[in-house]
Amino acid sequence: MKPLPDNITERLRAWSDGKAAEASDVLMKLVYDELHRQAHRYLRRERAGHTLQTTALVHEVYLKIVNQEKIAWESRSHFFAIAAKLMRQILIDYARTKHRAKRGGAMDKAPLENALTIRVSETSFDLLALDEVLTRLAAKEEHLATIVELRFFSGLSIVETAEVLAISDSTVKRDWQMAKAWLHRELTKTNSRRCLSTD
Amino acid sequence: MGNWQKVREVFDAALRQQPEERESYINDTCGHDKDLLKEVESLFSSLTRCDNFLETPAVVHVADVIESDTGSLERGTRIGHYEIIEQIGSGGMGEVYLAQDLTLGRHIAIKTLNEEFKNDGANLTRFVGEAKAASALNHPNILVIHEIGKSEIAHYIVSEFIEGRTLREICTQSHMSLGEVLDVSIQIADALCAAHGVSLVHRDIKPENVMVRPDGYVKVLDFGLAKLVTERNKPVLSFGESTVGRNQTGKGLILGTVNYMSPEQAKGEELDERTDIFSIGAVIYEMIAGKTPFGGESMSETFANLINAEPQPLSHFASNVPSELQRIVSKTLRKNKDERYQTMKGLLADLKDVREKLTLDQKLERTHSLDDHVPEILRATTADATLQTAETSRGFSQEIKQHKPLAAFCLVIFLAGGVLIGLWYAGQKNIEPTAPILSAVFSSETLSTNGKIGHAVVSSDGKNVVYISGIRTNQSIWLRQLESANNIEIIPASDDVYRGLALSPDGNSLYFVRRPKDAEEAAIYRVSIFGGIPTQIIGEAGAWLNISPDGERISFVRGDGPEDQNCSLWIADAMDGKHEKQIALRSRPIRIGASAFSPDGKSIAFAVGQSDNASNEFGLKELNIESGVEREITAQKFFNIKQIAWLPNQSGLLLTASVNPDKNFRIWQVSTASGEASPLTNDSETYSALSLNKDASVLVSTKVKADFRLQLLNTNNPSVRRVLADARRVAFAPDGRVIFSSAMFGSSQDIWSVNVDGSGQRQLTNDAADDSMPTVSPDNNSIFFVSNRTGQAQVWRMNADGSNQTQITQKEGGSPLFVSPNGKWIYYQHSLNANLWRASSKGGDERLVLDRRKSFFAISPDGMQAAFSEMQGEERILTIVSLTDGRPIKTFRLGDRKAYLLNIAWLPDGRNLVYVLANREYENNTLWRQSLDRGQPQQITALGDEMIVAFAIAPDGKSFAIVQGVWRGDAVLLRGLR
Repeated sequence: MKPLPDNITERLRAWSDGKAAEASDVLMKLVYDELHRQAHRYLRRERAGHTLQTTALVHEVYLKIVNQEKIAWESRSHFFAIAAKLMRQILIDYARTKHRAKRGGAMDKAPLENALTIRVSETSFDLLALDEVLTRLAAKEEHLATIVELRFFSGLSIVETAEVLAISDSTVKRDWQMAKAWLHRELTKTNSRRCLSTD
Repeated sequence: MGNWQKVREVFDAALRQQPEERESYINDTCGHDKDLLKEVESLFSSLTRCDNFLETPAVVHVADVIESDTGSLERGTRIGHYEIIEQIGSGGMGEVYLAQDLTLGRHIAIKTLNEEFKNDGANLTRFVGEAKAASALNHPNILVIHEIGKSEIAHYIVSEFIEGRTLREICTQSHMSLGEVLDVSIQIADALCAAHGVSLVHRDIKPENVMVRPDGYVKVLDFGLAKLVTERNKPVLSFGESTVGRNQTGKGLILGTVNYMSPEQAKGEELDERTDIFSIGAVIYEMIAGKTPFGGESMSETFANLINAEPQPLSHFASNVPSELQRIVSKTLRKNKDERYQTMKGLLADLKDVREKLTLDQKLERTHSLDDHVPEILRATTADATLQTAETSRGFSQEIKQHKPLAAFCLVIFLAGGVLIGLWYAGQKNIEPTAPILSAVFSSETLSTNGKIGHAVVSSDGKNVVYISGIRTNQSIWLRQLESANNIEIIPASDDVYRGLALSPDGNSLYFVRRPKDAEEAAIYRVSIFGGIPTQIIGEAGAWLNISPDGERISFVRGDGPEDQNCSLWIADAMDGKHEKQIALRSRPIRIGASAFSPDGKSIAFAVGQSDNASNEFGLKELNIESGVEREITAQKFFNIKQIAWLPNQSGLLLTASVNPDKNFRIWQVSTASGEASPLTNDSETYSALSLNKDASVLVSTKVKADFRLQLLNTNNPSVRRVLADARRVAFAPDGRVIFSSAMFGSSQDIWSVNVDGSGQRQLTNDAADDSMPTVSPDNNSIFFVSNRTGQAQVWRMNADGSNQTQITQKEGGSPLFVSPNGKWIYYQHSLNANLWRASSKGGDERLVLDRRKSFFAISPDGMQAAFSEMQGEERILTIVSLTDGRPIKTFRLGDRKAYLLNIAWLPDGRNLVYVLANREYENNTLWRQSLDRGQPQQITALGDEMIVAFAIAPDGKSFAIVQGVWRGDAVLLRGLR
């Protein structure tokens, strides 16, 4: 076996096959549950001038899950890479729910206009669009997508991301810039196209 | 997009340029490739516009969605006789609400148990246990529990409702005065004093778990995680019917926030009251400094700081910190819990003293009270009192953690529990009074049974064992927590090869020797036992690591490889490998083995000697580090010494060592005063690793076994193997019988014979010494072998039936290789110098034939030439020399230039050589044929990855024999060595 994280990608691939499905469910549920709690906390703290730390969330989930004997984690890095992927799924699921609610107008009370949109300088986009574009980036270079998952979806700092991937801070910084630049460009493209077609 | 890689490269390279040079760099690099230029430019253009893009974590953007999704209870919902007003928090097990007690007409806090835990007996028990344990503490600074109940909706705990802010909020929002810091600290300490009084440890003291009311009253929350500490000689708290304080969290669980965790908590060890002392210290520190004492940029950095770093002094953050308070905080934050305050009472008393002195000073000085410049933040202003009630009041803190140990990636390497396999009695009951007097009775517990433990060391506190999993390949390093039986991976499996392990005395840093697969050079690394990326501290180092008792220095050996000319013992700074100093040096064949710093740190004991010619020539020396003076610790000599460990009071040492002719490695004890040496174990096991915890109550060793089998293979169809016996060395007799020496260890080696079909197995020698390397004369009548029955390796002869065993060589002997066609000469490899000698087959006339130091020689059937491998420039080649004058006759390239030659033999026709190649790790074995007439070697077959230790060709050349197998090692724990 090669040292991690070279084969994280491989593991993640293996992760999606049937064998690991059960363990994945356990992890999914734990991350999911923890996320709920954290979101509550976030809302309280926000009013008290705090910011939400997704990193703390992931760390806590990590501490909680590593001892689940059913899940034989290869390493901490392995966990963080997986958690970031799950976090992406979870958050995108939320965004999707919200999107549906917005369309159907079923249950929702709050104004939703900007809830899902993220300011990108002059333009804005929604998380679902980002998810799509990110998938395209992964097809080009899985590594860059992983960095985005760790940074944006898991909230890891540059330093932490470097630790997880066992590469240098400066490499993470440059890769992060590359990923952002590319995603940003693609999103603005997508957005203008969307605007044309839907409006 | 086909040019992605190119775009990527240019973009990346451009990022490395100074911003002002980027444009010209891109233009230059892209040249005429307009598409590339356009692509890179568009990316840079995006980059300039996306400063904040993706910098806010995704979760922030969907927080409100999550909020609406959590199914919290609506206002007006009834639970028992409580009516929900609103949600005020959320914990690990459920939500916390502000509610109205409809019976008593007061506000209360109600904590519900999550749906998912309803059917979870363990959590339910924990839930109830939490409430009851807290209820039992009738203390003004501890949250009062009113009721534990169950409704259709949920299980719940009702507590008093506290209006106020958490200490977290106070810390974040304002600066606290010294007086306030002391008031809060004293109240927390007071609460914990009461809890500790009933053996309740909080385990999760942090600012989030401390509420401060507007009137300055402090309430400590969340005793939910508190674990009853079962004190010896004290009855456990009684809970109704059950008298067992069964709490909850199990052994070795990590609870609490990393920033406030004690080192023992971070390591997942068992906790007592002193963990709370550490945590409260961290809270006091933060109140003053505005930051946590060990907080880092990442969790692993925080861990590393917690383990290695000292917090900055408080004076760094505030000028008015009384030195007494600094002393108090420092004492609470000691990494070693034995050095902290031992009781909360002691801490409380000291804090009160400082408070009193401060009050007195303030009274005396009147002017410029320390508190003057700080707002009275502990009191809520009336203006936003309502808001605060709604926003920040809680009955329970928001989080409950049930973190399990940091990492229990459970491999099935270790058995679930220890197995008591029996007691041993040392052979010598009548140890002299001057000897270290270890009890001869101790218990043994096997830690592994899979035979894959390469090495193991125990931590100074005796609670952890660090071990190498994998004997030679696919190695990984693990931490085993003995109490919880958890296995935590420190270094993941890879192709790298590990040797030697040493733990720092505080148990937090691990040192090891690592060599990349197939590389020549190894280096020493240091890594936190929590994992992370190892730091190389010393290059070009061998093995035999040891760390001084103060953790400051490391000792190690250079040049212990078989081809090294000199072997030296070194010390250096353990932190970064600086200040390397050579303290002992020996020339081959003498080499230096294990070393160990004495408990007082002033000297080093080390093993030195040689075992090449099987004499008992290994000794034990003690070197005064400052003066450089060496002395012999004991007159006892050994065949070999593997590991050394000092006994705590410096009265003696333990070693794993063997003496000839009894070849298995026992654990020995040696008195430093008298030099008396005696074996502690007298079983047939071979013990290799040896490490003691600080008080020598725990000893960890590895039991090593050789598992090598003699197998016959047909040259034309090598995939079919016939296993004949466990063996070590092998030769064919001209009549086709197979002569072999039995497996080493456990018992001495003896010579046997067996027919090729496996029948007629017969033992030829039977003595306490090792008899090995059989070689048969052309007339089938004599078997020559090496034996150490005189204490030295000498060539012996016997008849084919084992009768008439006679010593042939008298000087320094060696291993027989070849008998001349006329039967007059026996050629042998000198044990000490590894060169080629011959003697008369009747004895006498010992003379050097070829002065080349080689691992393997093959002699041509006519006795005129010898073949061996040697380096030619960077390449290993096969060389044939004349035995008459030593001149080279021919050289050939090896079949695989990167491989090492493991064994070589001449085919009976004299025109072909066959040899075994392997990689540096003795894997990937291949068998090759080299014709003396043609240049190209031909691979005959691959022989797998297990190590090949012997090889012989049948006289008809149609079959060959190999001895192949593995070393096995299992870790064992010995207790009661007193």
